[in-house]
Amino acid sequence: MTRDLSAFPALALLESRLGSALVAAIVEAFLEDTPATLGKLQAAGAAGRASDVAMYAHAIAGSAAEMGLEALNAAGRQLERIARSDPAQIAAHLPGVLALGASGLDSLGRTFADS
Amino acid sequence: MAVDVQTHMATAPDIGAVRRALVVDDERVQRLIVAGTAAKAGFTVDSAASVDEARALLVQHAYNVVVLDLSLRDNDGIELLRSLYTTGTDPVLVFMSGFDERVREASARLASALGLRVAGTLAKPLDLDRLVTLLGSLPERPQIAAAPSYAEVTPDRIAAALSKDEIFCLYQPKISLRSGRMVGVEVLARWRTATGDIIPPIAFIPVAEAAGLIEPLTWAVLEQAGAALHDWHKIDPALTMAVNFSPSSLNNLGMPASVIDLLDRYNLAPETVVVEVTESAVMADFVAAAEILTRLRIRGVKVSIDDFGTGHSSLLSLMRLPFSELKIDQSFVRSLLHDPESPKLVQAVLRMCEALGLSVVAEGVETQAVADVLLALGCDVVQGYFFDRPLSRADLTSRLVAQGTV
Repeated sequence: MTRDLSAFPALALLESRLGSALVAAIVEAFLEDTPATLGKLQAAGAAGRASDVAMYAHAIAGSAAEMGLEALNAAGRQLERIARSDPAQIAAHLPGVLALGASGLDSLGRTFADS
Repeated sequence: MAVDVQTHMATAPDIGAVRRALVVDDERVQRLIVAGTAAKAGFTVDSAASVDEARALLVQHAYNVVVLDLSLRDNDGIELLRSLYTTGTDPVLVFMSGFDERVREASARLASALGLRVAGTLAKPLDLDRLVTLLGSLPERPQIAAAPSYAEVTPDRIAAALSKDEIFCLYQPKISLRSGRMVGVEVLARWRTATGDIIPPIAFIPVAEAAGLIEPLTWAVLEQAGAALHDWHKIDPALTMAVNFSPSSLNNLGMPASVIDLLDRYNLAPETVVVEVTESAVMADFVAAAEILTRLRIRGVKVSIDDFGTGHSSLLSLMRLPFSELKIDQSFVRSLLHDPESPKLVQAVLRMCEALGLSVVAEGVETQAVADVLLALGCDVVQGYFFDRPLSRADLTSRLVAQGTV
């Protein structure tokens, strides 16, 4: 099935290079793995484990960048920096990352629902 | 659907015909992208999500390349570097990371310092064109590292090997990039046991050194090499031959006379023979080394400092000792394409050698791209697996004949 990837130019580029089946697998991996990583990020933030927050934020930002979820990528990078430099600010930034994560998952999930 | 590009062509042999890549990243998305790209580039691909998984795969397969994420959850990618060094293969490394370029380059330098080969680094999000370029720049074959130890290597066995002529020579060609011709060879010792096993020098040279057997071993090699060079000079009288001398040879004040005697017996012009010494060997007994090397130079034998740049007193050695040639260590050569500092250092070394009247040999050239950079920098003579693996006497003779006379 042909998908409309106009909202995800990074994935469209990947598809042109790697083929639709592998890109579907890549997105599926993101959809399967990211909720758990977001959960771990939330738990680390609640427990005040700044190094874990940095690690999970780094992971989420990296995967989001490959999906072309720029807002989630940027927020994740910022949270990673904050976790390493000013952990007291984690609580102020964590909800934004979780919200962007949820919306990114929703958007990608709808686009790839039929595949 | 939970697809991972774990293994394509899983029944393919490990070495030679199939190029094999290992992707190490704790994020499945990244693993799939890199593995998919490598598979498209013709690699058989395995994936590992952790250092432990990577270690397990590294003992099962010989990899041409390991694409390594620097930030793994259970560990960092650096932890894997020492494992790579001891697994029996020597894959080329590609580092990838969301960290800034300085972190990636520092990791690449660390790997080079450990003697590992680095093709380059990748930022995240991944630039697939650059990844394809890096994968395309790899040597065709994985390098088989010398085994770290051989239980059967004892002083008695080395002595027996010497008496039974089990020590033999291979010859690594040196190539002029400008002319494309082989202009010299470096002599490499190997040990073929009665059962046909080949034992690399790293396994027996240190034992021979410690047991006081390095002198007879060196001269056994020199006798074979001298006879070979005598024959090769009938084809190319200008062909040079470099022989490595150990630290203990540089304590033996009779060594120059023995070398001259060998040259006389095989009717070899002194300027066609290059005595290669390492800086550490020279520094072990500087006064004795200075006397020996000076006497060799007075008789016309060339003297080369090997592995230049890896010691800690190189410039002082260059100033005090009568070297005629300098070998740029392969760690600088291997990093030419990915470390922006490396070409600057190599160029500085070349200029220094020009000013001092030293000839230069760059070792460890494994790709055309590196050869091109060296030529552009002004380095003419190189050696490395891109041009030739070490050849037997017969194979080298054939190569000389095919090359013809100038």
